[in-house]
Amino acid sequence: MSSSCRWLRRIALLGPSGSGKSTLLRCINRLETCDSGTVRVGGRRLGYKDDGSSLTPRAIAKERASVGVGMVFQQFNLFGHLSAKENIAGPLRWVHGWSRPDADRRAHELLRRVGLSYRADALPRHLSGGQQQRVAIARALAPNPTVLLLDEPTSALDPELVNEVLDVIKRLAVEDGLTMIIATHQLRFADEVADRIVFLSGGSIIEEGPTHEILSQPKNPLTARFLRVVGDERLPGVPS
Amino acid sequence: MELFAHYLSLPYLLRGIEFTLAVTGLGLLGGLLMGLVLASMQLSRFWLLAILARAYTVIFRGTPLILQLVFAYDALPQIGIKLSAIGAAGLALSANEAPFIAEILRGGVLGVDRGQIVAGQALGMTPGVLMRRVIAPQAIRTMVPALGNETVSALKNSSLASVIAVEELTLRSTQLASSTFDFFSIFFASGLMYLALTGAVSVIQLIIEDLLDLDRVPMKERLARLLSWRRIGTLVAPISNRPAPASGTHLATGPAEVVKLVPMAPADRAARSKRVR
Repeated sequence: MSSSCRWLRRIALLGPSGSGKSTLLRCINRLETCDSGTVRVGGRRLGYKDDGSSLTPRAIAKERASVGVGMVFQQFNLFGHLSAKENIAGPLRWVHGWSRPDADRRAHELLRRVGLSYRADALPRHLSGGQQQRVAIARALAPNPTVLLLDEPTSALDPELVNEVLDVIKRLAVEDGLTMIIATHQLRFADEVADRIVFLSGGSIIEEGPTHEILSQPKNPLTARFLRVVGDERLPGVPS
Repeated sequence: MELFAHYLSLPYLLRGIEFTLAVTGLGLLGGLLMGLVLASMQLSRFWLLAILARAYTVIFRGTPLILQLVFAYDALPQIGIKLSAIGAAGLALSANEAPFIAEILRGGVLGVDRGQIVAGQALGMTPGVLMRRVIAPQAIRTMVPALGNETVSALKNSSLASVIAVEELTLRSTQLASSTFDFFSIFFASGLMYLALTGAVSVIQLIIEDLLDLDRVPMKERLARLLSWRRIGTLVAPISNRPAPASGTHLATGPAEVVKLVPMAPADRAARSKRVR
C-alpha cells in the first residue's frame, strides 16, 4: 500500500474489521513493526537508523516524542492511577521536560477545550467513556503533535456518548486545522471531517480519493458493498 | 501454666524475638533486592537473562530452605566464605525468598493494563519512564497483599534458623523448655509471640493498602461519615409542619416531614462528587 498525506489535512481510513486500519496507524508511530515498506513522518523514518536497522526501544521513544505523533485509542487507555489533569500534565513533564506550573496550565487549558475543567481531579474510572475519551484526546494534543492518529475513537462508546467525542474532534479539526488520520466506521463523521478517504480491505488499499467522491461514487465493488452495508445501518442519507 | 505470663515478659525470650526479626529483616531485604534483579531479568528483552533467572528459580524454589540454611552455614566456609550464624541465615532466607518475591513483582508488572503501556509508548515515554511513572505505581498497589503474605511466611521460616544455632525465638524456647520442663507454658508463650508478630505484619499490610488506595478519604471526612447522623441532622433539617409547596420534587420522610430536593450548583456538585467517592 502506498499513500501520502503531504498536502492533505485529514484522512479517514475506512474498511471492514481486520482490514488493517489499526495496524496501519500503529506502523505510523512504530508501535508495530512493518514487515516491508517504509513510513515517513515529516520526512523521517520513525524508529530506524539511517542504514535501515531498528533502534533500541529507548531511542524509538525519544524519536516519537520529537517527531510529534499523537495517538487516541479505541479503549481510551488513560493512566488509571492519575487524575484527568495528571494524565495530560504528567507526560509533558516526564517526556518533554516541562515545568510543573507550565504543564498544569496546559492541562487546564486543554481540559477547558474539551469541556471537562470541572472533572480535572477525577480518576479515569470515575469518568464516563465519553469523558475518558475527551481526556485522552486532550492528552494526545498536549505536546502539539504534527499528526494525530485516531484509532476508532468512538467504537467502544455507548451510542449516546458518541456525539460528544465526535464534536470535540470536529472542533479540533476545524479550529486547529490539525492533520489527522482517523480509522472509523462512522461514515457521517468521515464525511464531515475528512478531506480524503482511504478504503482498506484485507491489508491493502483498495481505493482512495476525495471524501465526497468515494462516498457518493465508489469505483471498487468492495468499497461500494461496504458503504451499502454500513450506510444502511448508520447513514441513510448517503447514496450508495 | 501458672508461669505463662512470666514467660511472656521474660527478657531471654524477648531477646529471641530480636534475632527472629533480624533474620526476617535480612531475608526480606535481600530477597527483595535479588527478587528485583530476577524479575527484571525475566522481563528483559534478552532471552539469555530470562533463562538464567528461570534456572535460579528452579534451584532455589525446588530445594528445602533448611538444606539451604545448612549449606550456607556449614558448606560455604569450606570454600572460604565464612559467615556468622545470622549472616548465613539471612543469606539463605534471601536466596530462598528471592524467586517467590520475583514472581510477585513479575506478576504485578504483567498485570498492568497493556493498553496503558501502549499509550505511554505512543506518548514517547522511554521504557524507564514508563516503568517508573505508569507501571510501578499501579503494580505496587496490586502486589501489597502478596508481599504481606511473603513477609508472614518469611517470619515463620526464620524459625528454621534455629538449626544453625541462631538464637532466635524458637531455639531459645526449646532451650528454655528443656531446662525447665515447662513445655506447655513456654511454647504457648512463644506461640503467642509469633502470633503478635504476624498480626502486626497484617495490620501494617492493611495500613499500607489503605494509604495506597486511590479512592482514599481523608481522616477528617471519614470521621464525619462515621458520625453521619449528625451531619444529616444539620444538612437536611426536616421542614416540619409546613404545607408542601405545589411545585418541585419532594421526598416524604415522615408523616409531617418534607425534604425539598434543591438542584445543586455545578460547583457544589463537583465538590460533592469528589467527597462522595
